[in-house]
Amino acid sequence: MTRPATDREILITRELDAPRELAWQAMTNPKHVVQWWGPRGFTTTIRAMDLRPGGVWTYVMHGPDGTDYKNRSVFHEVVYPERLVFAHGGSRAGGPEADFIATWTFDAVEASKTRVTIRMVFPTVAARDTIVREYGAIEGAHQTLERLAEHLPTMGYASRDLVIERTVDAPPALVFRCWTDPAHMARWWAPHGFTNPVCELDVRIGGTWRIVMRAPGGTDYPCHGIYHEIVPDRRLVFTNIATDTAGNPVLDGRTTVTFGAADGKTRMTVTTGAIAVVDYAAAYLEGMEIGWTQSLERLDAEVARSS
Amino acid sequence: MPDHLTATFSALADPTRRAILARLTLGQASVNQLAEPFSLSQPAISKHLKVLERAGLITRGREAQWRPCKLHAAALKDIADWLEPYRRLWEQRLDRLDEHLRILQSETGRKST
Repeated sequence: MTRPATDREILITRELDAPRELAWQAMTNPKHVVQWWGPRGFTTTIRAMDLRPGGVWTYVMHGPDGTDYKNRSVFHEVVYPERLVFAHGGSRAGGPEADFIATWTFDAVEASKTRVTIRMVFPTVAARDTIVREYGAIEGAHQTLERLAEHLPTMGYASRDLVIERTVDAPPALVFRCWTDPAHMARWWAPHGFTNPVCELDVRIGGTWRIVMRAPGGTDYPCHGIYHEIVPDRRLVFTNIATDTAGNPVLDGRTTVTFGAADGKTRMTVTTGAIAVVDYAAAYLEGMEIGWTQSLERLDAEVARSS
Repeated sequence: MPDHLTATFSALADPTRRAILARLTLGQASVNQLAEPFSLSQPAISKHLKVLERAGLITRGREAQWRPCKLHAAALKDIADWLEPYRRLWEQRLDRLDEHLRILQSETGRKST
């Protein structure tokens, strides 16, 4: 819950008509940030945005009157898709330094609505008042969130569920083990021709899993998530987030797998959600598919040669 | 990846435009007919129609007076298809699980005999 703003804080909040995974992408992908950052009439040039604790974010905001405002922030917390905390410093040439700790929080109001809250904490009441007076920080923040709200629908995002059923010739206990034992999981999770050089599964509720899929050409496709439900031999629920090599989320969803016994065989039902910026997800999957298709073609050629 | 998908999604992000498309699933209609259920002026509706046309979601007749708007279903199909590669990834993954289980069980079979 948000506390009321004290006299050395600025607190701004707004409801956004998009899931928080998307709001996060708009906030953390420089390509998107420059589209909406700053009050109306401002443009932004990002010099660097190293999104990890201790990482530096430098950018210049260009005011409508031609004034440049240099900004340098250091990230303190990066918690996808919930919270971003950074220490901000910056000013216009000769202007007062705007030093504050900014916390951006994204709360899911419902599946496709997000409440974004910006909290800026200043060292003193006087510092806060100066920034409000000199830079119009409150009105500026409102306008910034307005621009964010306008940018989100243009990002081309979609959210869908995928259901796949499959019967395999093995008992549920063995199939369940293949989903929960890293030695087994590493043998099958990535597509054909890929390897899984990293496969860490902390199979308990709240535990994290992390797998890196490596394509035959050497490109890495990392993914990770958290376990939400574990019913041995019957049911497994976990979040499933695929990221690009820079760590930006590409596909986000929750995966539920049920295991049903059927005459010594196992009927698996995999239901997996996908929240994505469609262009990014499509490019990501296309790259992966080229990898496994080529690998299967090589296998075919190998078989043809040896037979 | 095609930019046209982004254009399509942007066009679909607006509730009025979605309502226009819903109306067009019932058959072609003129600008006046489309404007009727909304408290919007004809120029405002025309603006929405231009966005939909640019995104390839509708086509417009060439007759000077009555330029009927028609749904262009193929563009909507592209949207429905975006998840297909993800399905293929999962199919591929489950193929490998199936294969892995076969190998596992044939190994255990050999050990127990």
